[in-house]
Amino acid sequence: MTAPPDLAQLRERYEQRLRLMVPAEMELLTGLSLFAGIPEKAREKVIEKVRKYIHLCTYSRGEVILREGDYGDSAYYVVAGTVEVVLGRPGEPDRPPAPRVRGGAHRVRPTDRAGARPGAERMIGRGGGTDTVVLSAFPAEVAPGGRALLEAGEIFGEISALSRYPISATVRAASPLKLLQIRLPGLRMLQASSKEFKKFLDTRYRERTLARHLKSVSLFEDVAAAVIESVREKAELVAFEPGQIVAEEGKPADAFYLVRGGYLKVSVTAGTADLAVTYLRTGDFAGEASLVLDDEPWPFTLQALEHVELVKLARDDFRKILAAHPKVEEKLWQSMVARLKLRGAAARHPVSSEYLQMAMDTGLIHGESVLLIDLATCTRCDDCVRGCADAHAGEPRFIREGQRYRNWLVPTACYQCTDPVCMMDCPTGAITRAVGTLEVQINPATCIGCSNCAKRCPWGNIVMVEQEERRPDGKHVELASKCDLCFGRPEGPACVQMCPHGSAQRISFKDMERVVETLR
Amino acid sequence: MPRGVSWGTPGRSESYTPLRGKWAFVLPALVLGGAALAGLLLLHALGWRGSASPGAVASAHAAFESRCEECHTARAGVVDVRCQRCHDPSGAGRLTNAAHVLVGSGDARKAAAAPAVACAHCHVDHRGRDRRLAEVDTRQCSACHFRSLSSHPEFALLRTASLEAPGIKFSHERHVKEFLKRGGAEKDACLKCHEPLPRGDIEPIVFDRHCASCHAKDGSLGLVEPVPQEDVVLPADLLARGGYNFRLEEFDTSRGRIAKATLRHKDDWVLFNLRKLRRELDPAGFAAERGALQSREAQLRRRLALAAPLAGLDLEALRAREQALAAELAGLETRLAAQARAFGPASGLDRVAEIAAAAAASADATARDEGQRLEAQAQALRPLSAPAAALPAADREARRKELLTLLDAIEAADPELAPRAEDLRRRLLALSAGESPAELLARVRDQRAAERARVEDEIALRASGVQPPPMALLAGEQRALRDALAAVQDRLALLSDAPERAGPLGDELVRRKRETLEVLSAACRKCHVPAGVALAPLSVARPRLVRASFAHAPHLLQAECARCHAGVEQSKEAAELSFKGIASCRECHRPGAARADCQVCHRYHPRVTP
Amino acid sequence: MTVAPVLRPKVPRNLRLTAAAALVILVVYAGGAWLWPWSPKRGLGLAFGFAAALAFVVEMLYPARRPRARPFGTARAWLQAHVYLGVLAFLAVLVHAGLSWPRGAMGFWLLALSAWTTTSGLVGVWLQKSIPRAMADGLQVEALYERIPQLAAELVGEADALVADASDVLERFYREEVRDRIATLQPSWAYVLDVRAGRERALEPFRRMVTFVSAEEKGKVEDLASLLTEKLELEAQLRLQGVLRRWLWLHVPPAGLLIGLVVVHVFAWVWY
Repeated sequence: MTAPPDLAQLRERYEQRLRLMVPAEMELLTGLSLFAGIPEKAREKVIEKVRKYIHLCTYSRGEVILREGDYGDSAYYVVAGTVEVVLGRPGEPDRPPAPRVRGGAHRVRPTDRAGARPGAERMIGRGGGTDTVVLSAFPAEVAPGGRALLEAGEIFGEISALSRYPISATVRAASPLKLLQIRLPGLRMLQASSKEFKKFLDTRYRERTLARHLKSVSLFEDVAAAVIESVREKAELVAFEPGQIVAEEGKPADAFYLVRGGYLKVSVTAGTADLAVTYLRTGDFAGEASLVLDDEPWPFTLQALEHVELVKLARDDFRKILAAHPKVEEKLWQSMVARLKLRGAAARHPVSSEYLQMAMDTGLIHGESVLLIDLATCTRCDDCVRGCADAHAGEPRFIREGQRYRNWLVPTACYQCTDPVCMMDCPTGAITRAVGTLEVQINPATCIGCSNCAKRCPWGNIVMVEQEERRPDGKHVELASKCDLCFGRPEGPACVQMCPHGSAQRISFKDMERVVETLR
Repeated sequence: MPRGVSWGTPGRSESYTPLRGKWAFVLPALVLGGAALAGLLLLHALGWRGSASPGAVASAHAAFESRCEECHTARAGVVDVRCQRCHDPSGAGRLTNAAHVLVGSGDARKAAAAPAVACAHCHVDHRGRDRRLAEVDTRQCSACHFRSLSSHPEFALLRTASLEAPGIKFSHERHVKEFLKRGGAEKDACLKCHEPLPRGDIEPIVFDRHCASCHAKDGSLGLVEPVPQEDVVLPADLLARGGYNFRLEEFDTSRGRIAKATLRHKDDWVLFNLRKLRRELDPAGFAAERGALQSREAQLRRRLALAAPLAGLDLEALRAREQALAAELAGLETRLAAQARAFGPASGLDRVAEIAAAAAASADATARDEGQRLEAQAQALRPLSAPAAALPAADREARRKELLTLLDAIEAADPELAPRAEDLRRRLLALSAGESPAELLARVRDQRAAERARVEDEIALRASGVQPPPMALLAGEQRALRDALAAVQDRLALLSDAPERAGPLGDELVRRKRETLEVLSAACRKCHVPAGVALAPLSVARPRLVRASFAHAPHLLQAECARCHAGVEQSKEAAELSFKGIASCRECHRPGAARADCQVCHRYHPRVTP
Repeated sequence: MTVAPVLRPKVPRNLRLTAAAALVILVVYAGGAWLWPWSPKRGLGLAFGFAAALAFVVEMLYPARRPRARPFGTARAWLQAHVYLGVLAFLAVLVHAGLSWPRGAMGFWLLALSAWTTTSGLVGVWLQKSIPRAMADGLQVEALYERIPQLAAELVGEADALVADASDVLERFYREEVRDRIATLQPSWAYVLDVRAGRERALEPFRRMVTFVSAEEKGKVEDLASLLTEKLELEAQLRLQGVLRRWLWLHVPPAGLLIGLVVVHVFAWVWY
């Protein structure tokens, strides 16, 4: 566990949050250029609808608005004042020492667990991360150690909110400040109702972020800035609703897609069934074949699993760019070959595809570390639960009950989702995931037992445990409790280590190789 | 919507289920183990020894099966002193490995250097009532010896060229031909003289039984030619001594000569006179033989004296004995220490060489000269300082005879020195070839130390309430010793009886006496072999195999004599064994056929203390 | 040679190592027994006795796989070591006794308890392989042992609710034929032999009933059948998981007794 929280600091932030509960005034809003894009007739109505998600906040000089590593769930519009964006170097006082990310996504590339015994990673089962780094959400290029200033009329934080990514720099008030905070549901509403607004946001993305995003994709890693520029200009920003087909198998492939945010499913038709091959997350891409080959049909179907935002690059445009830069072509070939191999693997192991389908249908796919128990070798000795209890002061963190798939039982041990929904509504910030780590932890010191997280978890993996302490009304205090991957334990998760028959395994359904190896 | 059967858990618990304890099984197991431990310890304290005993003891030991401490010592198991309490009550060490090596090799040094093999190493008890403790797994023998009959070396009798002379002239060929000529059947040829006893071996050849029928017709071997009367003892005088029986009528005296008409085998008168003449003609040799016998007698007598077992002593006497031994040991230790400090010639020369080197290196010219001179001298002396090699056997015997004669003279000169002389005679026997004084002392000290250990152990046992062992087993030991002693004393008496000569003999007298000797022993020498002025001892009369025992009986049941003793009908010498050797044994004694383990022929423990 | 799935070793390398070690032990024994007379308290016999006692002590440490602080390796490695070392320990005991039945009372009980412990352990290994596989292959339901009575009670409640507003025919059918079967847990030993024992017979009445009731109620009959099936599966789980739990009583307390006797045996050797 990290150091105990500074309760004074927490209280302050809590109070600040309370201030957010007050919606902004109409007069203030109607005058903003932000809503200029909305047609006159509809403007009032839209603003009225959106109003409850927009709050006016005031900050005094030096107050921190957003911390690096915090997740963003709002866009911020500077009404009056100056905002300072600071990117501290590691170890400097500006850079907060291990900030806790409240809710939302984590940094995609998980680092190794510190102090773990060799071989312990095998027991954790984390999924393979992609190489994409955090999206930057700021208008200026801020180098480590540098700072930038934003004036009135600027908007920041909308990328983080839409893509659920952590803020990449610390934002402070450089002068007494008035900010409009537009929370995510409001953002989405605005996006849907106002093309202008969407365009406005897209333009900002294109200007600020797309280049960096493209650069961070391994495909374009070594590519010259000029190429990136030309790609950036030609790229189109598209969005899809859950369930929409982005590309259909067999249709001619004429575009390259880069995922900005959301999940997509990649599947092939095998006979009459749909075989799920893999899925795409933020930072993944598809359609490289089309860029390289002529008249290629789509080899798979791309379907959006939730709200997705994509960067679309038309083939012809890309060809022109490729002609000038042969190295990029080579890289594309390599990644295409890898993809085909993966597809072949799925065809060879239809069961794995079935598991993947199952994982997608049930949501296990979200987990970075799912505990599975092989019922064909489990002797129901409960040593896994006992080990968990021993590692957690006598209280186990999971129950050996759950759904069953073929011979595998999926007990109610937290899956450590990539995008944990349980973190969203915590009023005190007790449930967090530290930057760069895998485990979602609940801090019992700050948990008030509201059971929001327990209610939110789709699989009921969070259990409310009664404590000895009593509330003023006589009932026992309850605290939320869930599996934390035994994060302080060098040998790794106790459940896997304590099973005498090796029946307990932790894998991630994103790691297809491991899935095939374990579940065959 | 059909309900269907749940896959996995129907419903879900709202809270964590309490688990059965981790140590739910371990605690009862430990309790059970602890109870067993406590219970058995309690029973042990109350006297039940079943928890330690690996099986019933042999019926011979069954009487004290429950008294483990009689044989077992704490932490050391079964030690030899406990076995020896009953099985070697006189403490002679007959049952030790050292005795085995001594009897087997005759070399006391080797015996002293032999490793100590514990009794319990080979004689394993607790194998049930019916197992005989004497039955030893002969694979134990292979620790020092070889593994199987196939690696057994050839018999020593056949291997060594230097066989003891048989002492008799006998030609099998002649006798067999005679036998066949007289109408005997060929198959009875061997059995006529070598009569097999019903359940034992072959009857030893006795003149009166086997030879007399042809060689002593009418009981007489012939006659004795007349010999001068001065050289012999007259029969009347001999009869007067008593103990001899012959008739005066057999003698013929005329003209100062005496002759005997009938000569019996082992004629008393002839033998007495032969001894007398021998003593007169070869006093040194006679004295040597007598001395050797006296040594042996002294040794046996001492053994008998010491064979007062610890069992018979009470606590007081035991303590006294212990103190005596302690004193003796202290004395031996001081002597040993003195030996260690004594300068040998070699170390002295080393010192001289050191000084010489130091002098040669100094600056002074005279000193250098001195040094060189010293060095030269030291070099010259060095070959002489090498430790003397062991004497060859013949020289050793000669020396021993010398010393024994000397002791005789001392005893004769001063009768009060008789006990000391006897003691020294005994010690002479203990000397071994090639042994340095320090080694001898060490050997003696080890012996005394072992004895002291026995006494101490006995004291400890008595103090803890254990009864002394029964005396009955001692009787056998004592009887064996007494028998040996009696045999020695008989022979000694015979020798001592022979009258001494009056004074030195002149050449003429010597020649005459020799003639007499020859005449007297003429008949004897038809078969017996002369050795100097005496007749050689009959080695064929003694058992040929020293380190093994061979019973003819079971072999005679299965084979003819000629199977192993082929060619004996052609043998002209008594020394020829006409025996093929161990190869003929291996024809039947091999794995899958007749027993081929060591105990078939050999015994480990000698019958009598050597 | 195909090995039945139950008998297939989880880590074949460990089995091979153990077989090799056993062979070595036997070869050493054969050599030693041919060369010298074999004795349990000397030389090789004693060495094997030491080895066996040491092995027993290490075996006894198996519960130590679970301590809070720093467990040494995975529990799976511990169990593999425990099983294979146990077999080798028993072999060492046999060789120590010279492959013949000991004569004294102590020796007899030591060997008997060793044999019992090892055999019960191997029986346990077999049980732990065959029962989970039978359960996984034959059953759908998976429940915690302690919760099974409660789950069964819930099933009864569910069945009652289902039938509450049903037709008379169904209600009578339920009351007379089904309720008793659903309400009482009878974990019969037949489940050990066949995890689906008695199911066909129990479900037979439902097949009949389906033809009698109206179309709307067919669903209820099938639901009742599912409930009964679920209950039967819970019974099977109860019995089989019970076997897995109770088997340990046959293995651990005799092992404790064995350790106590071994301690006495070692003391006797030292003292005498």
